[in-house]
Amino acid sequence: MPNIFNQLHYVKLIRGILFLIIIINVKIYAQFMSINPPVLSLEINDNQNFQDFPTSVEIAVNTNAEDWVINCMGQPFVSEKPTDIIPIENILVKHEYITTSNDKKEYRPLALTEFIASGKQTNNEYKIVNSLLFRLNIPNYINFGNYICELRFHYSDNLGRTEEVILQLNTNYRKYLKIAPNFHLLKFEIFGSPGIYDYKKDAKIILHSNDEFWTLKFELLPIVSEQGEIFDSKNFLLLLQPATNRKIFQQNIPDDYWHFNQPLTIPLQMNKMGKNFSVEFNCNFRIQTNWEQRTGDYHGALKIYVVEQPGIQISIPIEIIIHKSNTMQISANDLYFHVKGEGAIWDGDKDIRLIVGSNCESWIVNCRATVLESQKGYIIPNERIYIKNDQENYNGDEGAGIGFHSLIQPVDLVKGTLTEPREICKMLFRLKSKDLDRPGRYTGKIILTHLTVP
Amino acid sequence: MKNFFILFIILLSGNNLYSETNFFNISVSPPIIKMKLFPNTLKNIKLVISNNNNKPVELIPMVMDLELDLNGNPIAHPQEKNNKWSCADWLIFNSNPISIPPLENLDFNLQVKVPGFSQCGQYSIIMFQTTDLNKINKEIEVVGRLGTILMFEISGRKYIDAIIKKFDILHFKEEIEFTILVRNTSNIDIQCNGSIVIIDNNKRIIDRVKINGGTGTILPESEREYKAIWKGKTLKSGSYVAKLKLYIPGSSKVHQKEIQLTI
Repeated sequence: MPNIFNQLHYVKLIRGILFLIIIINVKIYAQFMSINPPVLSLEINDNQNFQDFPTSVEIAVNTNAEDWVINCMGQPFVSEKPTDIIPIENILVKHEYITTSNDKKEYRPLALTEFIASGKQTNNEYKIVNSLLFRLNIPNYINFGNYICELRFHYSDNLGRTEEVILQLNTNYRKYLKIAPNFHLLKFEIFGSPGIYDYKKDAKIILHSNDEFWTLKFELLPIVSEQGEIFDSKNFLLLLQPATNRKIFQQNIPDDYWHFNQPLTIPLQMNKMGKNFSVEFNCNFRIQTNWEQRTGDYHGALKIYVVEQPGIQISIPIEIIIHKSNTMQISANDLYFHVKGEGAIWDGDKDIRLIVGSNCESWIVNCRATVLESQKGYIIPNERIYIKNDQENYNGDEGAGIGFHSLIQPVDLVKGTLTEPREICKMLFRLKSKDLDRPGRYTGKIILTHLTVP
Repeated sequence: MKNFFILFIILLSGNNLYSETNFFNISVSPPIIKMKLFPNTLKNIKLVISNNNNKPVELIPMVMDLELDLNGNPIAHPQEKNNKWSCADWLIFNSNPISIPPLENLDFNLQVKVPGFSQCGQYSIIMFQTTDLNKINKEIEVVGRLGTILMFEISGRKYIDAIIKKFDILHFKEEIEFTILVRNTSNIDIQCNGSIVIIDNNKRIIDRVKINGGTGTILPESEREYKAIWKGKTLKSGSYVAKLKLYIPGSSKVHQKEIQLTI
């Protein structure tokens, strides 16, 4: 008996639990109003007067009541600090039941009690009864931070039933800075002698912000060639100049070109422009090359970012093409042999200095001479013109003394590798006259040729 | 009196005194262009000539043929007719003298008109020769020439090969100098590199000597001499085999030659 009693007791208990579940289900099923999404968030990233919440809010109803109505009651936005408030009239709304005289749906401030929808039974299914769009009118003075607003949607029907669902509006008013350059690639193509080369195109950076003070940082990422050669960062230079006469810098910054062997940090005090702040400055980029810099295509980037929010950054690609170059200077463009009397060896009237620079791996300068020819057509062959290179240790005698080469064929003067322009050698010339040479004025050429060794 | 005459070479130039002044200071960039071109095309090339001096300069542009001597050094020759490796006839440029004001650059535009059929490798030099602005007829005029070497590969059938014409040794007191003469039998320039392996009587490799030749470039149908020096502790009395291995980028063939030597 006790067992039977116990079994009956359990059956009753299980029935009771089932009943409760049914009751709860009925209650859940009896939810009349649905709001989707229940939370709406807005990131304010600039100081536009109006900011739209990203999505609309759908209000749906499932009821068997013959007559129901939904109203919405708003509150102002509040932040963690009680004094920081965005008033309710700054919340603008647009929905089905707001129309103007033109029958256009427009935003208007949320009423203290905003009519949302009314209607009849929905035949046991959810029916969207209104769609709301929210917009925030940013006050002139607002502190940075998170703001929350709760909108209470109140359902009531003729059966005396009520329901309240809360829509939470969040807004995060943050400091922002937009970095807007008018250049997207810094390309330098260097022909000719190494030296200073300016970026010739207009390069400006415009900053927009909702805050006055920022610290901007320019950092040069490595500039490397395809062969792995590194372009020395101290040879990449920047001079910043305000585009207007307004003061933009909090502190003194270098008034000369900045060498990027370390990043350039600029504390900025921006100019007020209405609600916002902005500043514009010209960027004068410059690179410096030298003869020891290997030629090739170099690639790198200039990173510009904000110290306070390192996530705000841009990266400008840099391309530097350094072409090979040879340069040559000589100290005289003529030579004179004053030849008197019988056949002998005569020195030229001057020595000639040769200055050569190259950024090629291998180069050579050679010297050749043409025959000397008189106006009457007499010839002194080039084998009787001689050259001595003071930098060469040559002890041969080809007919005009020790160390002198005959120019019967071209003479290689000097071979070298990457070098800045410097005096490579001093050339001494001699002429060997013969007794049978006819008097007269002879002319010809001594040719110094500088070429890269391929 | 027959033996006593005066050969008088007079200087008429205004610059008849020795001067430290540089009479020209010019740069040419780039001084070498290696490029692949396609038949029946036109290619524009920009050269930049800089006058780095504080007075104007006048230059005469001219085209010359390129030759490399046995050491690989470039030699500029006057343009030869029927030189099948010269692209001189393809070059279109203004050959009038060019004047460059002080401290200025001049863009020199060159067009290469590639014909339909040609050898694979084509070479020339665009040379810029200084000239006297005052047009005074000097006795011996010292002129400077800077050039841009043009080395074109024309797309088409390319074959790469070479032969070792000579592999000799010269025995000095403390070193052995190897001389290697290579002939390029390709239809394009090649760049040789390689080494000589020294093997003793026990067939052990006792040393490896690198071939010196800079870039190692040899133009088609040309020859180049390379040197290699064996010296140091491994150089002792005995009999050896020197095995030369020569590599040419672009060719899978390894050119080999060996020589017996007794020290």
